[in-house]
Amino acid sequence: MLRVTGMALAFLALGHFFITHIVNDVSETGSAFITNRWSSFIWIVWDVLLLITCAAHIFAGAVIIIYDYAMDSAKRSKMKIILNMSISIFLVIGLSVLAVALFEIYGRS
Amino acid sequence: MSGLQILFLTLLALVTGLLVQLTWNVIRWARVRDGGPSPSFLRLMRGRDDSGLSNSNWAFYLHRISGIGIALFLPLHILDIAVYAFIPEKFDDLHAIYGSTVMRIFECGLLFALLFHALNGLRIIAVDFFDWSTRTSVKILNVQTLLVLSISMWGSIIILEPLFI
Repeated sequence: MLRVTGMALAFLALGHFFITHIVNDVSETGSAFITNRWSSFIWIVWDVLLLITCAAHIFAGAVIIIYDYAMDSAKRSKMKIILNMSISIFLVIGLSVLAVALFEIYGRS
Repeated sequence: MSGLQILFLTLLALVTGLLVQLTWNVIRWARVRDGGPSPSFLRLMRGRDDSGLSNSNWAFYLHRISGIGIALFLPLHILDIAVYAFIPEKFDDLHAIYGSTVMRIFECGLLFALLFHALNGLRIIAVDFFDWSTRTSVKILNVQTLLVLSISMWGSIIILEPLFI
């Protein structure tokens, strides 16, 4: 799971960083840049895949960190509950951000 | 500085503090369990050098630490794009903070963490897929370190350039 998502992320995340920080200087990437970027289908798909793959990769990685560093079984179950809640909130906020932004760009036209 | 920018910087400071604490814990447990992220000077002096095996423990721990760092930064990024989606008129104002000196330095750190974590991860996958020995994987680690350092130098120059023009 970590490996499959990791391989996909190596491409998706490094590409995302390259486009937003290196090809375009970060002072130019305001609302207009994002609206422009999300008018093309490729970047929308890219960002949706990036979000979901990140959530999966971070979840799997965090499970390993919890099992390695939380010695006590009670502490571990508490941390796992916190992790589950955090990843769910992360996904809900991320997907709703994408949904609302896309509605703004496409829904008004 | 607007309110949103101050909020963002506060959250960033919290995240950095959390990262430092977790890094400290990772290194502390590394010392207890594993002989540490790199061999002690005394051990090196005695010449116990088994083909660089324990000299590359640092890659394992740096992989963890960079992963934790990226995972902690990511919610901040989601929140600031959430400002774009939900309060569009305030987004450009908030985004201006990314162009400041502090944030550009953070970006260079993020670039390094991303590159190291990605390339090291790909190396781990390759070790399993191509069945490399430890000697080979350490040689590849040296190549990887060169790549990570050179690409992050190049990227950092591009990111930090507008500060010096």
